[in-house]
Amino acid sequence: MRFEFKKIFSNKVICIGLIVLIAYIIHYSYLIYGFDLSNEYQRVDDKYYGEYTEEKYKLLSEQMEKITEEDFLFFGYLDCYSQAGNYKEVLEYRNNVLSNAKRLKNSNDSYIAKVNAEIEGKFSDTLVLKICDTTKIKNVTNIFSVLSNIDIFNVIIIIVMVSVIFIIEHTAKIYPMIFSSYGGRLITYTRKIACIAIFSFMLSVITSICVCILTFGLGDMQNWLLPIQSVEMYRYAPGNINLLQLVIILTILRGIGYMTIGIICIFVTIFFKRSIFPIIINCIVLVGGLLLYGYYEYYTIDGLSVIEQKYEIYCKLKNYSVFGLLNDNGVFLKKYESLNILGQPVEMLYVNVCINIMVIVIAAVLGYRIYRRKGA
Amino acid sequence: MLELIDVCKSYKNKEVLHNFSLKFEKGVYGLLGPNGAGKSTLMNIIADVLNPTRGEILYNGTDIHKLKGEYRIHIGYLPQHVGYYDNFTAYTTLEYFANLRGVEKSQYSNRINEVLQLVNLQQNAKQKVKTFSGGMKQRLGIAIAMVANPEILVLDEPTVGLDPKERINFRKIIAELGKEKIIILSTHIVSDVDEIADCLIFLKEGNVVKIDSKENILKDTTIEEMYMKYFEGCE
Repeated sequence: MRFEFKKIFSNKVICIGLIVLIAYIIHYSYLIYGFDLSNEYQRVDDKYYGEYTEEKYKLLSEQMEKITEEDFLFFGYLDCYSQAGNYKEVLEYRNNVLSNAKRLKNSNDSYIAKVNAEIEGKFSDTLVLKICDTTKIKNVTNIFSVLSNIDIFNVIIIIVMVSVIFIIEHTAKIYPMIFSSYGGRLITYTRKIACIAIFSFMLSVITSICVCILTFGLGDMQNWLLPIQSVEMYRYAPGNINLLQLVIILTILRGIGYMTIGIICIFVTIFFKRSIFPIIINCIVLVGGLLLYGYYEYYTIDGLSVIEQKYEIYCKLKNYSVFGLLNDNGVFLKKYESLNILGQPVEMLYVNVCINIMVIVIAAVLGYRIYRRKGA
Repeated sequence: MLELIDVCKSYKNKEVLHNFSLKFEKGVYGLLGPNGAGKSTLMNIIADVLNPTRGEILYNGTDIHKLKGEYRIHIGYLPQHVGYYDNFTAYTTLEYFANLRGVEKSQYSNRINEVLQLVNLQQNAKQKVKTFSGGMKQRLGIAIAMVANPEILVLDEPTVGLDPKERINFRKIIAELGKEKIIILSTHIVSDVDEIADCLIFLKEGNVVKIDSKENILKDTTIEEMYMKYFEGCE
């Protein structure tokens, strides 16, 4: 497999692309949150920090009524107040969900009973919610929500990479020598698939490391251990995971998404064989899909319900496609959503991951059948 | 021993190779014929790149499609139009094919240096393939075919692009290797085979028009005359 990696890294376009990508992500990260990290935080009275209580929320509400924008500590109090407000809503939401689930798990409808038993399990953990300097963490999660630009960049790198190790063998007529070798078609194809899968996954890891590197260097590591509900975007999230675990899960999901895209690219490349045609098709389908997804998502979030309703089918379909694993900052982690499969509630996250794994297997097998017959 | 029995190949109802049968034993086999005679198709079939439409290919009595990789490990193939990974050096290219052709890792260095010396490219081992001339690339292709020390060498137009000196050197190598291996060499340049081939196969439009040992052919005529007899007027 090292030769397949050599093919990739001996290609200048990919090497330059990777260097530009790393530089771009770090620069982008600095623009988004690095500046805040290097600035001193406005620390308010210590009594407001620490574990959240309703008492603290009341105190902060009173403080906010008194304080004016001219006050030096205004933004410090505002940050604590908005955190406390968020925690209040998180706890109220979880209590409501839990009480409903407890009631409905005894429903006569067996599916509803099962779903609610599961919901009860997911929401019964006690969260340790702390009021602290969350600016740093909020900015980290913000950058994940604007990763769509980086996704597009990464997908283009994957498309070029696939063409390097598949199309070149066709255009340069190398494949008869490969096919006549001991390894023949199957071993060669398997190595290529494995190489592309590893490279795609590593691209997700590199992206996450580059995004987080500034916080690791400048930020408060303690905050990484806060529950994800500390960030407003995840206030309705089920379960009890911390921000570090969230970043790891998002990296894995993005990695699976990139792998799916890599394997789809292989299939298209093998199917069309010609050098430029598959690149164009891959770009239109995958980059276009990402752009469309981001476009509609933008309007949906913006609350323009007409757009959301008009493209309802599209919005539903995206949750079953590879795009659901990419630029939505972990859409399946934000709220509990399950699907009724043969009377069993299955979380949407698992449904999507299973679909993507099936796409990977089917595209790889079909790709091999064509590769075996036609060559690269 | 390699045996082809009634091997046919068709593309979209057009048969480009008709009932080819022959037993190959150690020695050099020259495959002669004009363009479109079916030489490359036959070579691709022997190299297991193409499947025949009909017929059987036996290696030491076993069908090659049952042997799969175990057959291909004995094959060294140089196709007619061969390309390379331009950003690889000659050494890396040979390492890559040594790996694909099942050479043990501990043997890479020995085998690669041996074949580089054989084709006179040892000075260019660390040079990128994109800097090679046509002749050097062709020599590298020959080195690739020989890197795993195969029992069967299938060389499709191997002398294209070689200068006269390299061509003479190549013939010497083939003549030497032919004592221990099956070498099937296709060409439409008669001088490539008239000195080194033990057996000549004349192909025209997918049909074998003559198979005979060089000695027998030379009893009555020259190879050039025979070539002209069968292929005069062909492209």
